[in-house]
Amino acid sequence: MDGIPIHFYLGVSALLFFLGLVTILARRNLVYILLGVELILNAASLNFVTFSRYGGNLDGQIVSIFVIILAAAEAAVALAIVLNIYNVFKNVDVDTPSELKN
Amino acid sequence: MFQAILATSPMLSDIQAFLPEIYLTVGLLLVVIIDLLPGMTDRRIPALLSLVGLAFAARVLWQQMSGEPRIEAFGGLFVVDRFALFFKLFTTIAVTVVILYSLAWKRLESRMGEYYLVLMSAVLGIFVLVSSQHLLMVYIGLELLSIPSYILTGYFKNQRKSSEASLKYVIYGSVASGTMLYGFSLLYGLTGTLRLDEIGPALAQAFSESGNPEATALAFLMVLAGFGYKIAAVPFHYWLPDVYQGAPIPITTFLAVASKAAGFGVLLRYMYLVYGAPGALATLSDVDVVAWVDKLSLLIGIVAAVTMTLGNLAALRQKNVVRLLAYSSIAHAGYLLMGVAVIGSSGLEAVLFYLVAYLIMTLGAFGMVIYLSNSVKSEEIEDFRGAGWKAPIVCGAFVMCLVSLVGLPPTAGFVGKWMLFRGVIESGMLWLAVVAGLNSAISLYYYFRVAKALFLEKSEKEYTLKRSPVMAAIIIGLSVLVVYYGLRFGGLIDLVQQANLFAAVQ
Amino acid sequence: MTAAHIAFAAFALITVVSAFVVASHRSIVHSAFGLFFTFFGVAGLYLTLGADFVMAAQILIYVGGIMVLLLFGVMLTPSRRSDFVPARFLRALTLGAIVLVGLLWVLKNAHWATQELASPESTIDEIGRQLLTREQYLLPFEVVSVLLLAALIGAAYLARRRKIVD
Repeated sequence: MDGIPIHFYLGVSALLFFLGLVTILARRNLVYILLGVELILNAASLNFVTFSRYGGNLDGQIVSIFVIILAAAEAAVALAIVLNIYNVFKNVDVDTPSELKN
Repeated sequence: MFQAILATSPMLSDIQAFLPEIYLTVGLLLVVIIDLLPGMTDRRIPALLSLVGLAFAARVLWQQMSGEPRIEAFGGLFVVDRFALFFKLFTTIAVTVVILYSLAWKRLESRMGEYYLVLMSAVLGIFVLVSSQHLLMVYIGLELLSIPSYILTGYFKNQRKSSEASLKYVIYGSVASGTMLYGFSLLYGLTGTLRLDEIGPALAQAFSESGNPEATALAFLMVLAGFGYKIAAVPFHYWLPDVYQGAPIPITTFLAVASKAAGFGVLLRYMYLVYGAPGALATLSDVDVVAWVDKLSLLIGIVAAVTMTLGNLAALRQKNVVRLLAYSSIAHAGYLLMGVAVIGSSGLEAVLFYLVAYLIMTLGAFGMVIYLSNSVKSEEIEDFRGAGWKAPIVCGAFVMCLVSLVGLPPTAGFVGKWMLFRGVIESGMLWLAVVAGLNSAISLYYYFRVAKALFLEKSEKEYTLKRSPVMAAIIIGLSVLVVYYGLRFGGLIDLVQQANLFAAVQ
Repeated sequence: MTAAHIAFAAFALITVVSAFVVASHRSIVHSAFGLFFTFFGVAGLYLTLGADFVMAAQILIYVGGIMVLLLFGVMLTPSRRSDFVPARFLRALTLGAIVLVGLLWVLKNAHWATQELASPESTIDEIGRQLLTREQYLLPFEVVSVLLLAALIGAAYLARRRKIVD
């Protein structure tokens, strides 16, 4: 923090958000999409800790701890669903399941 | 002596405010424990326990309804006001019916312990969500509603369409909640606080000092992605038709009624605290700020118009009745957003009233789908042909719910729509009322198509309709309520006025 | 150029480069390991921000827990070919770049609520106190436990194998 402008941290977090978005948009494998979501969550979490440091209160750090906990819960459920999809369709491509249509 | 110590403890008043949630938690823990005991194979036991938990919660909610108008607990993170109580009672009623539907639904799995456990935790999520006054609580509440919803959607894990639905839900859901969280972090950075009641004034102050609204606008858009996905507003609606069609129908009912209402509850509170409350943006006399808030209101109005139009047009060509109701539910989110676009008293009251009407008529409609598909083993409209004459009273009741969904008198849907129209016209958005009027006309066509299939067409295959007195009684009761609130809406309007956040200020 | 600058630059570089590997590598195993380093990089950034407890949580839960979970996901769902399509990647990159430019512009111009501060001290004490104080974060702390219970029971239910019917 000593002399590092807040914008440097925000820039890193913006890049993480961007790369997460690219991962989600560019990939079809479901596990990849989960990786992208983790990147976005890390970007938000980094923002919280940054603002917490520069704003002079601890709230942001506490939020990022909760984000880590919730990310674990979400990842567990999402992976269970992906495993289930693999079990049903023998494939983890987003576009393979297509039973539901107009 | 113990009592005396407790009475002086500030913890006690907080626990009393949180008592309904505690009953829910006890209920869901009992479901876990009972499910693990040997010999408890009857799948009605966890349902019964959940209902008992809900009943205890409802009793406390009812007491709170006649108590203090507003209690802040846990340092202001959790607020019990009439608005929150309205949504909690609403959810309790909806989930009670959903549990009854689950019992009546013939195609459930053999293992039902996890189902009720997860359903009850989603209810807890809604309770937390509508009471939260803090960004962290909003996030936790949303996740506590979303994660169980993903699980419930995929509960028939050996069915392809159920698995696919849960997959789509979890992907869209986690991306939306990540984006929302990023928006929350921007709000925190702009204001230095997480408390929603402090964010409003802080944003207003930052706005009038620096005059660059881009960050506020970006944060608003990102947060809207999270809420918009919960209420399925365009362009965050893609998941909805597939999820509604693939999920077990009782769960579809839950998502369409309770989950959507919770989304509106948190959206309304957020809009009120950040934009409408005293000291927040909409109350400033600054010309720039007023213009900015008008733009915000216009943006929501446009989202409302696009949402209802897209939902209704897509519903026109549906052959599957669940999918039709799914698109109709998107359209109804559009109608409800009209009231949100009016950042003010009349809009909020209209949304709450319409939500009650929506609750009753949607429960009725999905109840009928369960009733019929238990016998027909299908949800295609053409398979429902001629069913009307096999059970004329129930099907007639169902048609009454459809009439209300269109918004024709003498039903609650008509009164609700009338309030919404009045709200937007009063705030100068006549065009939105015109769009909504046209949309209602379109919706008449596809709802009528369902009614026509039931009564005016002959079925090709022979089948007997299984009687289900409980389901029939629920559907008929709901249709009676639809008409009752269409004619005698005074009591309901009183309730809605009490729950009005804007009125509580004055 | 102080030690703090160098530390920041190193961790930021690790974070961004490994996140780019996640987005762009052909093999999912490599991408998963890229994410592993991203988590480490972010943990390092937390350290430079004086958030020692968050850093520890990041390493213990993300690197130790979520990462292992994701690697199981990679191993249990083997797919024969890579899903990397250069054309689609470029399209995503272009779309993402538009978002990125807008985001950076907004972040740069915004007026953040900041103040001058002394150098950071350990936050563990204070975080622990706030998490268990009634007026502060006791309620979210308790509510999250229900969420974890429901999520884990639900995940265990879903992941158990079962015969498929249509």
